[in-house]
Amino acid sequence: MSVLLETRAVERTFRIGGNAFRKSRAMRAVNGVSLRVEKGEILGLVGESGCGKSTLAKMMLGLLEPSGGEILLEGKPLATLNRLERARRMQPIFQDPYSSLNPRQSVADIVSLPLRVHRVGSAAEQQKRVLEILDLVGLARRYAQSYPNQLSGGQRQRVAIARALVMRPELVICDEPTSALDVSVQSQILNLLLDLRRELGVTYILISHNLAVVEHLATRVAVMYLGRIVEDNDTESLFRDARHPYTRALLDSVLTPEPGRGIPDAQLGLAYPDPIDPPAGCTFHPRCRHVMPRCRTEPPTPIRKADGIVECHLYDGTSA
Amino acid sequence: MGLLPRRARRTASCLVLDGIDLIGAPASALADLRGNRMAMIFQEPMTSLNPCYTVGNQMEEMLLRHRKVTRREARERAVLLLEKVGMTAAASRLEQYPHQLSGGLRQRVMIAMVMMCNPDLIIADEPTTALDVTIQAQILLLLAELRKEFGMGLILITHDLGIVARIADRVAVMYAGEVVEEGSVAAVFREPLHPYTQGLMRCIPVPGKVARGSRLGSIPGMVPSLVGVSAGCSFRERCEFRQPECEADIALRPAVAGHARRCIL
Repeated sequence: MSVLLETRAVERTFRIGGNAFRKSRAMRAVNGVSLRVEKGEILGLVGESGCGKSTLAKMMLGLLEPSGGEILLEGKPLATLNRLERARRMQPIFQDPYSSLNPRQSVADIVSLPLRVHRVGSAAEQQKRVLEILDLVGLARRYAQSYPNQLSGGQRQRVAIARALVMRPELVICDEPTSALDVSVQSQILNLLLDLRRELGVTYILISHNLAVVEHLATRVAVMYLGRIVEDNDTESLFRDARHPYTRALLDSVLTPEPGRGIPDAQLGLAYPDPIDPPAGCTFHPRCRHVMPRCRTEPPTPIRKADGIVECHLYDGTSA
Repeated sequence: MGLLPRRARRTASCLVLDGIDLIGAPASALADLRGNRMAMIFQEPMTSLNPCYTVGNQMEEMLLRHRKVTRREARERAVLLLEKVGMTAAASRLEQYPHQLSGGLRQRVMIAMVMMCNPDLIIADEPTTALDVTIQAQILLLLAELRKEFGMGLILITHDLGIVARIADRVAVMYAGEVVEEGSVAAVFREPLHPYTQGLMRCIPVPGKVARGSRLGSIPGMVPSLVGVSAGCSFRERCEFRQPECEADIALRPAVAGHARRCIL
């Protein structure tokens, strides 16, 4: 398989909190992320809120400039592609279909906008493609003239998916695509995403904090903590044999519907660290069960294993 | 809780909290019960805490309203409960405003707050939906421990079957305003009887049971409109086992002792 999207040591820093009396401080939302997305795979990106998942996604889409490092789309730096080309090849699906659709445009207008922007075909051809894509996402054609407020949450998310796919992009970045939906609707949307991958061969990046959804859909999973990828492996190995203590804690926290198992205690403690003032050494060490003296001072580097990458002192050989 | 807008009309043959009739009770009597004998935890702690008052102020108010205590005693109890819900530096937290706390901490404050008067019943409406998985497990563990320690009843409202399975003793499945199935968690998860419950269970990916990347089950159709009155089973339009008898109203009836369903099957 070939690499579709690659990030190389991507960083993003935000300046926050500055005023006349206080200097602004730097917050590193994304701190040196190197990731490869192969053609045709579904990469799951998991981590707690505030760990930088969405910032990373925005940089991949070209909605946010990286402060450092570079992002390559099929070997070409993203910065050299113009906006139109980026939008043709990559599209987002956002969490909340209530705020990501313009309430004053009809479904047909929303879905056809990318076609109009890219000047694809005549008006009649555009309409034909809109109806085709509505069929594909399982939304009855009679809704084409409806407005978002006349649709249910699941239908709205189908509209968002139709809009993302109408230009046949190669990469779709789904940021919590089902978090705002009921379970019965969630399963329909997940089925749809899988069907579309089979039919159109799209590659997905799936950002979610629902690990059951990620395990079901993703072919590979990257775990993010405080702006860094701490573990990256194929889904089966990661869920069977998680290496990083943070990954294990995340997996332990999942509540599968099995009565009698009780509520797990992942022993992560309370505090998600302040990203403005991250802990020294390994940023996970204040919450880690296996903390060693060197974790407090020495940041770990990525260790490549036969399958996947892990960033933890437990695995760099000298201490194990 | 009696918090519905005035236009809503409640009808019930029986709505009683520990011998007190809640339907006939005047507003003042209900106000004496709310926060005192029964209390509620909402989904979004940012919108259910008042941003203009400190955490301490809002917590003390519960006790000052319902008990004859001094502000100092109320403050002591607030500190005690904040420690109980696992917050560090509890005394200084009282001076903080909700926006200075993280989502998990805010929800802990909510829980500590409803515990102020040691209520008999806590209603938690999606208490962890806005939180991360790791924090979710911590909050649920806390609720379960407090319930055991103080012996209160807990009604947990959620759409997450995983939470139900792990924390509840009994479960009532609701559809379109009616309870369609009720029973012990063990019985309902082992053998769901109502087609709606069965559908829900097929919708969720369960690691180890559902093959990765396979199609998940789904429930066709949509929740019916609740405007107007309709007779018969409210799920029949989406049900694969639909019979002519489903047009008539169906009572919730037991299949075995302690496990009932609203279905003709």
